Amino acid sequence: MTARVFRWSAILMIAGLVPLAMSGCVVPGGGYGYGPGFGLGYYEPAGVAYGGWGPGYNVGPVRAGQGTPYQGGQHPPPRGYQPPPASRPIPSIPSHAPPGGVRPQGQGQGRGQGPGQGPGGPPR
Amino acid sequence: MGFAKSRGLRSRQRRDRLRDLLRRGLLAASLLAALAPPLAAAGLQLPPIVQPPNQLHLVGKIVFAELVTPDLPAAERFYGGLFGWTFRGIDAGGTSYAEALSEGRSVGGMFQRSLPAGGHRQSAWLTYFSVRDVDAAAATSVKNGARLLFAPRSFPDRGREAVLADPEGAVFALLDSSSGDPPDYLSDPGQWIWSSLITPSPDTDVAFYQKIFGYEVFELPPEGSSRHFILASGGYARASVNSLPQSRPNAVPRWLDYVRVQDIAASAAKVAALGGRVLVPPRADGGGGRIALVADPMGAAFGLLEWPAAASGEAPK
Repeated sequence: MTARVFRWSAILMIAGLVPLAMSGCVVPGGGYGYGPGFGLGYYEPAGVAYGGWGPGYNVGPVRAGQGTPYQGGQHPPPRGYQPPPASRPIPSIPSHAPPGGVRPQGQGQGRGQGPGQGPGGPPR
Repeated sequence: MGFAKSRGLRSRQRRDRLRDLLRRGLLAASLLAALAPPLAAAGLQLPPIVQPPNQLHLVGKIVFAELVTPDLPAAERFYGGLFGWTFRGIDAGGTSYAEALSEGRSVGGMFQRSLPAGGHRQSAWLTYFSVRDVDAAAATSVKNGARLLFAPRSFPDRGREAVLADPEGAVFALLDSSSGDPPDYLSDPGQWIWSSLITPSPDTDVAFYQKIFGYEVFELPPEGSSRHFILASGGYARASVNSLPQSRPNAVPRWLDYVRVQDIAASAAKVAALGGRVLVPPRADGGGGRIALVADPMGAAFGLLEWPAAASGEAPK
C-alpha cells in the first residue's frame, strides 16, 4: 500500500513538473516568466534605441516590377541562405482587394474607441 | 519498563502520523502540480484570428500581432484614436484582454500585465508567423540557434503557439491558427501591412528564417554597409530584414510591424497628439511607400506605412 502511494506520488509529481518546466517559466532577458497560466506576453528591455535611420536606409516592401535583386557583384560572397534564380523578380505585397471588397469579418464591432467616440467606452 | 515501552509506542505512533501526513502532502502537491497547467490554460479563451474560419495556411505570412501593456484602457484610447480600432473584451482567465478590430476585422490582441517588478522593461508588440506545425517549427528553430521562450501550447479557438528568440535575440512567435490565416489581400488603412527585422547579422537571420519558413530570399542593392533583404512566400513579399542602422550599432535586434495609413504625416502628428512618440519621422522609402517609426505612450514601438492603392494596382473601392 505504502509503496503504491509513493509510486503514484512520484508519477504524478513528474507529470506535474514536466509541463511546468516546459511552460518556459523563466528566461533571463526575455520578459517571460508569468507561470503556467497566462504565459504569453513580452516586455522588451527598456531603453531600446530606435531610430537613426540615415539616408538610403530602406525597410519597406518594393513595388512589383521595381526592385532588382542584388547578386553580390562580380565576386559574390558565400551566403548562408539559398538565393532564388537570378531571373526571378522581387515579389511585392498583395495588391488586390477581396472580391467585391468584402473581407472576412471579426466577431462584432466591440466597444468604440475610434475618433469622435471619445475615450472610455462602456465599462468592462 | 512498562512506562518506557508505552513511551516508545507513542513515539512510533507520532512518527507514523507524521509520515502519513507527509505522504498525503506529497500526494496533494503532486496532484496540484499535475493539474494546474491544464486548468489554467483551460481558462484562456483567446479569440480566433479569422472569422468565419477558413482552411488557409499561408506559411511564413505574418498573421497576427499582440501587445502587452501595463495600461490597457490607455492603450485602447491611443490605438482607437489613431487607427479607429474598436475593442472587444475577452474572458482570458482573469486577465484583462482585448481583441482589437479594424472595420470589424480582428487585427490583434492587447492584454494588460503589470511591468515585471525590478526589471527595466517596456511594452512591446509581438509578431506572429504562420506555420502548420508549431512543435516542428519550434524544434527546427532551436536546432538552428533560437531560444525557446514559451513552449508550444494550444489555446481554445486560437490554435497552437510558441514564442522564441532568433539566433540574434529578436523575439517572434509561431502560430498554427485553428481558424486559418487571413487571406492575401492588400490591407486596408488601419490594418497591419508589413514587418521588418532589424538585426546585427542579416545573413545569419535570413538563413535562419529561410530554414524555418522556406522563404525565398531577395537581397536588394546595399546602401553603404546597410543590407536589405526581402523574405517572400506564396508569391508575396512577407517581410524585410535589415542591418542595424550605422548610428545604432548596439541597438537591440527586433521585429517591427507596420500599420497601413492613408496620410503618414497626419498619422505621425496624431501619434504625438495622443501621447506617443515619433522615433523616425515620415520619410520616403526606397520601395515606393512612405514610412515612419513611432511608439505608443507605454513605449511599444511600431511602424506606419503609407502605401498608395493606385500605385500598387489596387482597384479603388
